[in-house]
Amino acid sequence: MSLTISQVRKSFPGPGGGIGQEVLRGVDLTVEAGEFVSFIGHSGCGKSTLLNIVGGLTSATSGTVEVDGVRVSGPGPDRAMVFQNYSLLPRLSLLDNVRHAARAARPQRKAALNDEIVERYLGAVGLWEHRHKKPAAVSGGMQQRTAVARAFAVSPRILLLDEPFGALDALTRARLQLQLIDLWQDESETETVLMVTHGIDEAIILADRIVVMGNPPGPSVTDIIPVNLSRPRDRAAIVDEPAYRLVQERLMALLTAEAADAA
Amino acid sequence: MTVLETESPPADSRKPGRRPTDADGPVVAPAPSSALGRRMRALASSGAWALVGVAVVVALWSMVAVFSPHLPTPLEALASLSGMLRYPFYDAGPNDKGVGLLLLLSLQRVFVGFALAAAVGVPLGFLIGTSPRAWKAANPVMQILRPVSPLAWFPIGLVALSSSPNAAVFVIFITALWPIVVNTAAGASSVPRDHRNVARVFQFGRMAYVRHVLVPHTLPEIVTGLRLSMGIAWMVIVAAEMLASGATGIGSFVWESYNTADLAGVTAAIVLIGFVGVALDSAFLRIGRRVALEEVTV
Amino acid sequence: MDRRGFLRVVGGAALTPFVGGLLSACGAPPGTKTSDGGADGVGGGGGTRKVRLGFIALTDCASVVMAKELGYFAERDLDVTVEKQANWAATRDNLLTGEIDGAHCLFGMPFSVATGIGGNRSTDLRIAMMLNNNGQAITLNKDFASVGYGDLAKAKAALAAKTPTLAMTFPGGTHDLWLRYWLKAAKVDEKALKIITIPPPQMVANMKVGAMDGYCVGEPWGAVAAREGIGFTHLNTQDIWKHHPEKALVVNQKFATERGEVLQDLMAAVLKASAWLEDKTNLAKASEVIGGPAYVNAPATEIAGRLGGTYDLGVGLGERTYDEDYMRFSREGLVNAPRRAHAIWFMAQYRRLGLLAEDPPFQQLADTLILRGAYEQAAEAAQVAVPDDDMAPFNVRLDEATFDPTDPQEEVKRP
Repeated sequence: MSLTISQVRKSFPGPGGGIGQEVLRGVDLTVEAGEFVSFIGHSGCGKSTLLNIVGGLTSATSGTVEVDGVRVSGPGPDRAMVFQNYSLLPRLSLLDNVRHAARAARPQRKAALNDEIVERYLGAVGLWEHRHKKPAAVSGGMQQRTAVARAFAVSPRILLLDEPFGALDALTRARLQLQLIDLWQDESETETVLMVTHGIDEAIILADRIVVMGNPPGPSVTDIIPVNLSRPRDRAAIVDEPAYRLVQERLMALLTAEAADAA
Repeated sequence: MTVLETESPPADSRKPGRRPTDADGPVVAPAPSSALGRRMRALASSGAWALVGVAVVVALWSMVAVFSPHLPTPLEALASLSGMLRYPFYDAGPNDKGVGLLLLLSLQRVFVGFALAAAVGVPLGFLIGTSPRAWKAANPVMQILRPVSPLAWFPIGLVALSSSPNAAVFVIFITALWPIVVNTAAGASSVPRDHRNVARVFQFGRMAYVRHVLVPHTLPEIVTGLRLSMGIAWMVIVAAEMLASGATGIGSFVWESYNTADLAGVTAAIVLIGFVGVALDSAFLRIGRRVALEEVTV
Repeated sequence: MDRRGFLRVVGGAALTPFVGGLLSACGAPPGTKTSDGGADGVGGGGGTRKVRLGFIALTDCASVVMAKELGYFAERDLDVTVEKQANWAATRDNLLTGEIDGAHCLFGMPFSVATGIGGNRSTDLRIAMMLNNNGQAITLNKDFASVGYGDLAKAKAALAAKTPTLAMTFPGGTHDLWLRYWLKAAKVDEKALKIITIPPPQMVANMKVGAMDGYCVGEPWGAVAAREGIGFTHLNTQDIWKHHPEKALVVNQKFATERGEVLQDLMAAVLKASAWLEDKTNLAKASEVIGGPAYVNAPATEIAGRLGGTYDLGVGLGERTYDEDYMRFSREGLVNAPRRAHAIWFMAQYRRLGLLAEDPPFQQLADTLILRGAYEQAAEAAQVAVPDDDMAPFNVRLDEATFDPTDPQEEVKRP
């Protein structure tokens, strides 16, 4: 399975109706099956917009996104999203949140099979015994885990995450990062993960490649950095590895340069 | 009151573990008491202040009554009221009924008109809130009709429905309609972007969207609209019945009292109408509280 | 806010929004208080020759209105404003507060107010003179057309078939009494029907949509219903009691005692207008004038017929003419003398028809509330004959009853 993004541009209309900002100015990227790609950059670089286009929430002004040669024209069960704000429906229990979403995205699935899959993923994120609670009754971390379970329950080929752990404290974030890798590699058939993040460490620990995005007027994709660290990656140990350091320095350099340019 | 420095933070400090400072304002050491005791004290406090408010009104009223000899004094109104409440449900024919019966008759009309308004207004509100075209079509009409006094609708209702009591119900309907429509539409059009994105990404069908996203989100606003409508409906029924004197109820009672210059009766009726209004409003407030969403804590 | 202000708000606002929208014939909103401008805005005590008179939009306001329009007030150096009232209750309240000095008013109102039926037992309302006899009618819904004119038995049968709603204008007023007297004569069970108080335009509106079974009110509302085919005239009040007292010039006690000479001039002008209305050749002009939007606001043709005694009864019942007992304003003074016997009859009917639980002081109220002395003085000055039947017995033709004012109990007890 390959995801091909070619020459994607995106502009939002300006206040008078004319061309406003050009948020994406020609993005080219090919992602192979089995890859975990992180997107990193300052606010306004268009990383969330790119994710939304891949997910089918927005359409590109020009350029194409193709999954195995098929153009993406809207949302689909092959691509599931996890949002920054968890976005659980507040009046549904955790179980119902996952169940209804999975049902809606995969209507052909039999109800029994759906329930099985839902149970598996809620269990995998450790929330099965909390399944009847409403989102307001559980912590932020638990809500996000539910959102992750929800996305996986759709059995997507591509998982899209938009700064999923940004609102959580460091400890919870670390746990969820591990859980995410676990689910991706061992518990599901999801092949590809695209994740937007603000955190350099997070990007390096999780990704196979890191796409650095830039603000106008420069190119949208500033650089694509491979991460040659073997998995499983132990957070404590990995920090000392030279390969880690190299990538970290490169990222810092690129991002500070961006900041300096913008100033 | 002085600022007390305590070793452990009192119940009302902002963050756990933070010691109170002058910036917090006066701090009182918490009294050792049960939840029930606290509640009773709170109730007594609001009760006491309510009595103060009532006492002020009664005092003002008495003063005015001194200068206007034909205005009933609070005592006269009270006498009239207790007379009315003695046999509240007697029924001596179509011209002569107890005040309890009259209130029930009026409430009946209110509920019918209100139910119709809800049945029409909630779906209409959803439609207008979710469809920009429907909004553009309906909004100008709504803006024109909304400020029209309910009483001006009465002649139209009378001719359309050929019956005085039904015309009163129509007046209730047309007046109660707008708050329901407006509030429902406001709720329906304000579904948070996040929820809509969820529905889109996971490809919720129309039914699933309505059931799991739209309606749950709009529910509190619907109840608000219903509550406002009920308040207006109750207010309007009295005036509508004064016009539709073929409709027996508390309004026609006020009208007859006016005709026979029984101002004590009018004031007694005012008190009763007020209490019933408060009861209706409280009922809806309760429903509203049940339907309201707890704050999402991160 | 003092009582005047309080009641002005209540009285004036009572029906403003409704009537304005309803009948095209009823133009000026009933909330308006002046039909000619120039009111000082300060109660009746503005200038000593200034008088504010209220009226209700009925044909029998003619003598008061024509006195104004023909300049009879002016030629006596009276500055009179004739102000349309919203309803009888408003008239009552405005008289009691002094907002108006006098009014074209129901003969029964002072007694109704004094006994507590239609008021708070004030004895402030006084009758200076009578304005008219006859000219009111009981109109029934066209659905009752088979009842025909004046057939009490048929009326009883028709009313017994449902719980009818009947309307009159003011509790204890003239229309209320004609209605109840008729019901009693027809032996209808009053407990089985609804009698409500509503202003005349609402009566017609309700009957039009089939929500009203019958009403008793003054012309032209009987003619309106007949002409529009929504109802018919079942019984004219002159066929209940020939030459019955109807509207009176009612003044408040303050005006009567403090401005007695003004009252005298007022009455002289009204007596002159009453005599003018006796001449049938003047009736066409009268209909034109009172039909205008400032007054009754109805087509002159609707007013003129019955004013002159020719009644189209409606629903194909044909015509009925009166040579003598149509709406009369003078009858050479026989109309205008207020009689205490009539007052006592009214109060006896309050007892008999169940409006009062206890006997009122019949003679005392009749003596107090009728300004007999003032009237006789004014009549003499105007050279109008004063009949001597103030306390004489009389007949009520509907049920062939004779009333003796010295023994009201007999009437009270009569079934």
